[in-house]
Amino acid sequence: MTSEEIIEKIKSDQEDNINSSDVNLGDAVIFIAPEKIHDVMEYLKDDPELNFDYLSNITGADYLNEEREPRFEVIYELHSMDKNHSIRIRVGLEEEATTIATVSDLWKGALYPERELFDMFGFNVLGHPNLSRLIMPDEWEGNPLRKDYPLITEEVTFSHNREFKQDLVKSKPPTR
Amino acid sequence: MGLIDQAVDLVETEVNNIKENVKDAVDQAGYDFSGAIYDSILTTKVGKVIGWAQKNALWPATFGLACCAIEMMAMANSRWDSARFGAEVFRASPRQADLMIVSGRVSQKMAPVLKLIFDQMPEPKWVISMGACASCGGIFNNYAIVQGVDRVVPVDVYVPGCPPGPEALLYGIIKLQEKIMNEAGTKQAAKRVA
Repeated sequence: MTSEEIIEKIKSDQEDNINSSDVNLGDAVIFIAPEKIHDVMEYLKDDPELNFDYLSNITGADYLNEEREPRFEVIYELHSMDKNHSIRIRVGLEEEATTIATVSDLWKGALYPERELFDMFGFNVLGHPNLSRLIMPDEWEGNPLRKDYPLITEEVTFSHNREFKQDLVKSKPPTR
Repeated sequence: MGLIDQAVDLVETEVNNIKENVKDAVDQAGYDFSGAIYDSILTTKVGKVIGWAQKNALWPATFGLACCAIEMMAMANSRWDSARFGAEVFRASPRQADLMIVSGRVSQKMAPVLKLIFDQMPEPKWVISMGACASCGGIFNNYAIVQGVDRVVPVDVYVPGCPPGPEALLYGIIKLQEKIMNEAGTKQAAKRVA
């Protein structure tokens, strides 16, 4: 099926569950609300014509300081091995309610990407059997891929960093 | 003066002559052999000998972290041949190694592991920080990388470069050997073993 056909079919079958849809650079994209995610994913997997049996990837996005609502987004990429077609599902998450249902009961491969979501963005994945940090150490504080997380860990004294260098010179202890 | 007195004088003179000759001969033998003794005996400090032995058998731990490890392996092969300086035996167990070459960036999660390996190495032990990432974080000024391995373990020699070539690492090892030899026999060297 082409991307347009996939969008048409999902629109007719799941009219209430879909916020909007798009074909972006040839890829089928659907936007859904976080509370509908599990129903829609189950439909996408079990429908015999769509048959999305392979979960390629789960990623997150943070649109802080951009003209866009809501702030966060969880993006699922699905692929069908038999039909050889793909779809992207984008789920917007409000800053105050970063909770999303797990899809690891449908695709076992979702276990690790969902832990990464929890680790890097701090999203609470409901129903995940082992929701702990994947990449960062267990006692780490903060979620590094959020845009308000500091980009660098310490200032450097390169010559272009004039102000920091001047402060260093001021606070330098007197030499003998 | 009678004949007897004359005879006594003669005998005494002869005896004195013989005594003088023996004394000269003994002195001469002393001069002859004293040089030979100084040529064949070497005096030094025990600490210097130990340091000399240590610097010529620096066994690194097999511990590669990133692309610098490729250059570290090249240092051991026949082209650069760190065996010339006694640093070719990469030991798979930290218990048999006395040099840790931190070859690459150390992530926050790797830092406790690196510290554990360092603690498992027997005294005396040395650390070479290889490359920009291990020395100061390099280009990775972010949450994932420790900004310099000297925050975790004490570093003896920093080798700059990204990555440093095998010849640069060899130069670092030679510098470490000089450091060991300068330190040998001093209180710092004794503290390393204690």
